[in-house]
Amino acid sequence: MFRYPLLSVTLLASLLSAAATVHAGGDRTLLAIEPDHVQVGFIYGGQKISVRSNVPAGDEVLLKVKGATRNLNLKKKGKVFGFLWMNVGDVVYEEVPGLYVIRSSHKLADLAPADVLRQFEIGYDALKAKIVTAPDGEAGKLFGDLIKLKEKEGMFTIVEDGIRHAPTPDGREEIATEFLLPPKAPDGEYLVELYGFKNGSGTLLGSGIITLEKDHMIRFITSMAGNHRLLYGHLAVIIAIVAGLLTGVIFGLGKGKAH
Amino acid sequence: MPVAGTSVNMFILLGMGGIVGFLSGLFGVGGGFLLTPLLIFIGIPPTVAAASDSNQIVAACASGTYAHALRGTVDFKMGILLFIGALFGGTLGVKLIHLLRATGEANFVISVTYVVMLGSIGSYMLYESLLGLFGKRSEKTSRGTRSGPSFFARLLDALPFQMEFTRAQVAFSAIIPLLLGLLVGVLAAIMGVGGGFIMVPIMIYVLRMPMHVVVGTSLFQILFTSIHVTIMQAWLNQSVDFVLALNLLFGSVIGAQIGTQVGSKLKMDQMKILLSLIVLVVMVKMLVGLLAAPEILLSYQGGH
Repeated sequence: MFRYPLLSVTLLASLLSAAATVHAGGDRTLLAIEPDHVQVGFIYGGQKISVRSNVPAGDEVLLKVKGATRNLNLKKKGKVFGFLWMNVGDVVYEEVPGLYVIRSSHKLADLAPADVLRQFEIGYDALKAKIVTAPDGEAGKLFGDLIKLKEKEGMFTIVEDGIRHAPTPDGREEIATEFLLPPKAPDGEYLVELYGFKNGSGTLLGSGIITLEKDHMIRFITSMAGNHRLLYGHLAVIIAIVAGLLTGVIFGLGKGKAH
Repeated sequence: MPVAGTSVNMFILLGMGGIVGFLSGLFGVGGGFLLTPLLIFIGIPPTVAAASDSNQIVAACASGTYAHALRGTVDFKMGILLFIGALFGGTLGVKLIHLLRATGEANFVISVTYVVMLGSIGSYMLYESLLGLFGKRSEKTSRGTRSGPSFFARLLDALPFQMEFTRAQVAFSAIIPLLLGLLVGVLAAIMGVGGGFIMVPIMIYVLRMPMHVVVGTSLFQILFTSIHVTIMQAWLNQSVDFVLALNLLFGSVIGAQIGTQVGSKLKMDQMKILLSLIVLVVMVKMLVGLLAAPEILLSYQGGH
């Protein structure tokens, strides 16, 4: 786990905040994350991740998955000349997680009071408190649109009642859930945390990391397109000409069309 | 898609290329002006859609241009002048997109350009096809009726730098292909099209070039304009995704084969009406996108 310095710091902070709640935490619950290493290739269309664990009976549980954070500079749309929708200004959000997935066994509001959820950054209200510096400003007013934008991409999802429970012979409970690491998820590390809630207070039960990385070819192409733009442009043209001539030979083309 | 920054099912792209290729084979036009809007509809950022479409056009035109060059149906003098104009136009268009991306308006300008161009072309095609269907098509060309030269024909003759284009069997000022190339270059950069849908009617109706030379010369100009625009877009805007372009190409090649077979069994005017309606439907969908209140009031800067 501590091979990943940035996430280890985040994890340490989460552990400390968890320790501050009523439950002391105790033994860490192991999370079985399948797969915990995802490689993005040419035909990558997102990856379904399943998480299983064994938790104390009677706890309500919640899984949170979070990507690296960054500041987001977005464009706000507004009506111009009374009929055209154009970009009319900038809206900035700070420290927005690249991915934010919540799966819980019950409604969030039933798990714990809002201040406890905010402490663990659970739920959109907690997220808003973290990434909107001026709630009465544009960023605060348009926070709902940010959520819609991210949900449309599959980068933010909250599913209440999204965890299955089953009792085990040792008096504990086996829990299982799934989520999609969406196609737009950037490469990097994703922190997976499992919380247990009882009587309105929460405990971090366990955590893990998912690593997502592009395969060599995708990394090579992305790097070429970004760092050797002129060469990439020439290569794209050469590849297109060769592909065009080859398909011409194979399919017996050669009749011109207007484009 | 490495550059588009999103993932699209390969079969959707092949299918989309196939549909556009099918229409291309069916109607005898290129699909560039339909492909970019369709890519936008499936979530490819407009700037990447237009630039990658240019890349796809390079592939789609390569064998056709080669075949026409071998057959001697390319007027190289005209093609080179058109390309010189397109060099300036393409550069201007790519720089415009670069500037607009920085202000966040590139997607808006691409959509508006499409609405205007598709609206004009679709309406004109529908009008012409309906006239043809009812047997009322005009024999008049822009260079004049049989009774005498038009104002436009006299203007063409009065311009300086008159030149003879031997293979095209026409003579007019070099300024004309340079200006045409400039216009097509700008459109190629903004819309990701080759510009044949503008160039071919102008060559036939305005410049009165023979049909076999029109197609070859237009393809020659399209190929080199698209090469220039692809390189410029990759260099300045990092918006060319050749993986996306190749997927579209393979789909379109197969679709074009089927379209050509089906097209030979249908009546031309009916097909043109169908094509014009498709063009108008795409235009209306884009127009609705500009006029209807967006579902989400926030968007990413720079088209991503």
